[in-house]
Amino acid sequence: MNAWQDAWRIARFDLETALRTRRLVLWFAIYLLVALITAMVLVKIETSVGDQIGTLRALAQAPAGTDEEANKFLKGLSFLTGGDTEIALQMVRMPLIVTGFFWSILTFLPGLILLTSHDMINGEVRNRSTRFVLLRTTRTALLLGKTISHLSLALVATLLANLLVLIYGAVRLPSMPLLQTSGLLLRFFALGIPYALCWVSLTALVSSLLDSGPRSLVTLGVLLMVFQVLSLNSDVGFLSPLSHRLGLWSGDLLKVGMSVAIYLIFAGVFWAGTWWRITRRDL
Amino acid sequence: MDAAVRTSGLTRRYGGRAVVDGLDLEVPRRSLFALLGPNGAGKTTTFAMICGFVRPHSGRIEVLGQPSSRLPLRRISALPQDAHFHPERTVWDAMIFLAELQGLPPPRARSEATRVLEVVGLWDSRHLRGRELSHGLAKRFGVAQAFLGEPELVLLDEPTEGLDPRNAHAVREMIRQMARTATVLVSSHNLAEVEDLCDHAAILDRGRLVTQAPMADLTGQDQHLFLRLAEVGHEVATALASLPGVRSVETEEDGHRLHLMLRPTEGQSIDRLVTDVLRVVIDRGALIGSVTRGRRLEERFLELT
Repeated sequence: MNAWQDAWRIARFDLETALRTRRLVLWFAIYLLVALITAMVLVKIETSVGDQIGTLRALAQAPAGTDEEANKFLKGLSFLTGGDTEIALQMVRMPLIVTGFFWSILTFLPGLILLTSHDMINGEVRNRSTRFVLLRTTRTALLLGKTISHLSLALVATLLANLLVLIYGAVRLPSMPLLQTSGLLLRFFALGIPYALCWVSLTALVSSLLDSGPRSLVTLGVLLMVFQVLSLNSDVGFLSPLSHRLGLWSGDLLKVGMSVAIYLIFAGVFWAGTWWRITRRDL
Repeated sequence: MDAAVRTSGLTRRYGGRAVVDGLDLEVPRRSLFALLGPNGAGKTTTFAMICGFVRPHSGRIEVLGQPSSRLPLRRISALPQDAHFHPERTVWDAMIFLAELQGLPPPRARSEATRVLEVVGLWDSRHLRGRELSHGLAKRFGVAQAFLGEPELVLLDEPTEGLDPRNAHAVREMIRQMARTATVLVSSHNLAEVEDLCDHAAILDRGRLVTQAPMADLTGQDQHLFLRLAEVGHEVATALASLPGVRSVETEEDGHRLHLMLRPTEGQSIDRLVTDVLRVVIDRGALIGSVTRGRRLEERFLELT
């Protein structure tokens, strides 16, 4: 028996099932609408204050420390990046539409995952549909399949949002460097995979610990808020997955790698917890 | 005994109450085994533990020679009670998915899905989605998926409950057919059906095993003979009581039923003894309404629980 083969089969079936549910279609539509609104706002900003942004970008391109005005600007901007001027510089270097859109992905993706996947385990335990599957494959394959399917959902939503933003930007901003923007969106899409996996794994953990869908949704919402508060604290902030988002923006590959590794570790810990729970609980 | 399922000291509690309490069960291979008991006896929990859905608090389970921690997947199939398939998927999609998960290649999965859906009379409803299925149709779906492939052990929790007589008959026939190559464990409240279908049975009550035996022993097929006669004369009763192998003769109910307790003598077969009994009755000109070997399972069930 091949657990991976079973996991893919479960993932495919689960994905097809999810795409037929009204709840998922509704949240997907809202997510894409948010992406479109974000793109519209960013295009509006770019067209209204594009010249000033261009100047700031030129100032920021200058080597750090050589231009006083640029340094002042970067310091002001680093307020948004937790005081990290390197990341602030990296943000300024990128087209506004990419910066703004990646920020919105990092902000809204956990919410989308919570809303669409909060009952990924307990929903099937409640109606006992897992019992039709569990004499044919292992609990590990079931969990793997569910994880792959819900991660794919998040990535499909992100990919669609990326495409929407790219098309909208290309139509409304003829001056937008299409190749550079596409490359950056692709890069951030790839960096979004471990980030999404972390939140899918956390959602799976909570969904395997609690038997009620609404209760797991509320718990995940509270956890998200706790992580938000934790991330503001310099002593224990590292415990929050939200604290490591900024590293994904960095131009320094080592920092990006660290951030990706941290998200993979978080995902691994949450997933291992889910596996431990799911292989021991009644289903 | 070569057992398909063997449990020892199996215990499961819910909220401090033992629903299954130290259960020692042996289901012989290739038997059609009934698990009986009143509501709350622990049948469904026992099924769920054998299938690995529910973890026992103590005790051991062996399924097809393997400990429950290494359940021989795909060699077992089950109709779990109260399980519902995805409300958004069609019967056909779900059946193909389960058949493929069973390890059947796609063409075989399609032919198997077709076969089992026809057996349970669900073929015409194959395009209905899970949420559109009535209780009866959902039950048929559950039965159909348990018949997929060639499992060695089939566990069916109330397989004919909610089915119309035609489909219930088809399911019983399918169970008989499967029992030629597999061990089938059935739980049912329909004792007449179980008596007709199964060759072994275990009766549970309040989580404990009351008895477990071949159906013939349980109903006393070799010990009890009931004759319904138009009129029970003294002469007939006396003649029967004097036959070698007849231990006692009692007149029951309205005086028209004779209850004979039998114990064949050495070298005498039970069939020979029954034939001798009938000859005595016929020779004395009594009119026979019916002959029943053994007690009704229902009587034994009521006695024991």
